[in-house]
Amino acid sequence: MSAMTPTPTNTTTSVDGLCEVRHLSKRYGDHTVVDDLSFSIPRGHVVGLIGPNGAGKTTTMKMLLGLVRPSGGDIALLGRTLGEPGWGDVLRRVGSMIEEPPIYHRLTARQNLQYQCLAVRGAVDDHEVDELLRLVDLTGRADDRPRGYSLGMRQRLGIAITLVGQPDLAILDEPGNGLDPAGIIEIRRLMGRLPDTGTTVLVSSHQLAEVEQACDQLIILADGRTVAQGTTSHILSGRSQHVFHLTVDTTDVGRAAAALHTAGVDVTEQVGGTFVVTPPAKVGGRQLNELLVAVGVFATSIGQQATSLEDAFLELVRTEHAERPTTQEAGRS
Amino acid sequence: MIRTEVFKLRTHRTPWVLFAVLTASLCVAPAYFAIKNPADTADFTDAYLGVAGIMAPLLGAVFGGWMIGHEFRQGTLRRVLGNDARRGRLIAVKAGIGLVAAILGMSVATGIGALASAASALSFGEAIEWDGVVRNVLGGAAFALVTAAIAFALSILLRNDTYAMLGSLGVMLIVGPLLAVIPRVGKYTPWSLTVDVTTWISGQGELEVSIVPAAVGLVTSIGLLTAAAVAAFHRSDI
Repeated sequence: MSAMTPTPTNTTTSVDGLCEVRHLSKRYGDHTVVDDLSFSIPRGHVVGLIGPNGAGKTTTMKMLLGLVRPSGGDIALLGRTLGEPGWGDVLRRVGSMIEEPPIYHRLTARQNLQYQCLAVRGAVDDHEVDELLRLVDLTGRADDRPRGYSLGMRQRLGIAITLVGQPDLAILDEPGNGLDPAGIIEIRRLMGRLPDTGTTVLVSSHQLAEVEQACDQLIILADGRTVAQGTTSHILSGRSQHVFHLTVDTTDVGRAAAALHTAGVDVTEQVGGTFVVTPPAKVGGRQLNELLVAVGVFATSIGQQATSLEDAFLELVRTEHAERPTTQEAGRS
Repeated sequence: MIRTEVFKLRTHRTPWVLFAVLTASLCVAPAYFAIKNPADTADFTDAYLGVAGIMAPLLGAVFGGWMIGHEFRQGTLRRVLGNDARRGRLIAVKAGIGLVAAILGMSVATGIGALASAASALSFGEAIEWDGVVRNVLGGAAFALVTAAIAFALSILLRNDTYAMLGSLGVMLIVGPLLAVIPRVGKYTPWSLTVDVTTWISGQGELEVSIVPAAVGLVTSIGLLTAAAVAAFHRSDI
């Protein structure tokens, strides 16, 4: 059994879906990189594709673009199935940046964008080129070769190239790679604006905090399979941690600690009057408060610890690993 | 796709540098002879053909390997195929445009070299005898185009422009001549067939095999190499 998280999103995307992936697999000899992967990408969202190293994120993105041939399964993009007539037209409505910015280093930023205009639109649109240069803040360096650019500038140029022709879908593989915090924030803001212009974004990243802020939809992969898909808030809310922070007056610390210990509450951390506790499953915030009040201690605050995407991600991936037999085990059974 | 490939050729530096190097190398001897008159006007054509014969295959290998090899090296092939997934068409367009560009570049460069030689000879009141030179140049150009075609195919198979250039030069300048000395079969190796075809075009020297089987054998060899490259490219993950 997998830890797949069914969400309302899965049902709506079949109607409004931009991309549908069903039972996709990719094998290199005996090594399976992507294994029976299914997900859908709804329109008008920033969708995060996350997973540990080797989970199959980049391979999946490459298969969406036809750069890697699937060993099995179906990909439907913008209403067409991979390989069917008209697939070329579909690709012109998809922008992509896989692994590294697709830049011709001998051409200037402007020429790189002009080339892409020719490829996508069949003609150079200088107005669009100027707009994109402005969007990624490269107007001042438009006529320089990217060889002299910083990593962040190259990433931004790569994103601008991806956006030529206002694609329906922009596929960005690790766009924040190697960027400083300011650069990461810039790219996050840029991605956040794209759905308003009609471009859905599929982004993979290892920077989970960034993904949590930038993406409103998530697809979580582990070992080449989808372990969860849905809205970011749904995935996070589905796995609230049973960890509480409670604060008492420093003079009450001793009595509070004793009461918690007696009730079987595990105190994982205590600094001054603040406790981080993991109570038994049926004990919530209200019960903790009653416990303290019973010994004459009045908590100044009690709150449940919020789950970060990092926590949820690790939990999901751990569950998937635990529930899935290894290849050898499967072979023996 | 044709327009984008032409755009790339126009805007990239490599084709222009190769053209400039070929043109400049063909103008060095005339410039030298303008300062120091040669003993014989035949020196003009000898130098002209000698330089063209050496430089054209060298630069052809670089150009042939570069046409698609630089896309592998820079990772831009993903961008090209992301815009248009028709891989066979991409190779055909690149090969076609590369061939036209190579012929155009060699024609203009050799034309400038010839004009420079004529002007240099005129500077001390001599006229050059051009008899047989054009056919010789065409023969050299054919050799350069075969080298470029091998480099092009190798760059697809090896996914690397540098190895492709070195490979094609190795085949045409080292391995080919070595294989050619094998008794009986040596004359049917691609290099020997290329030499036969270029000898026939230039009209000088004797053929090891007659022109028809030589031409058919050469085209078949290049065709097989290209077919292998196309098949590998179709199957490969980018």
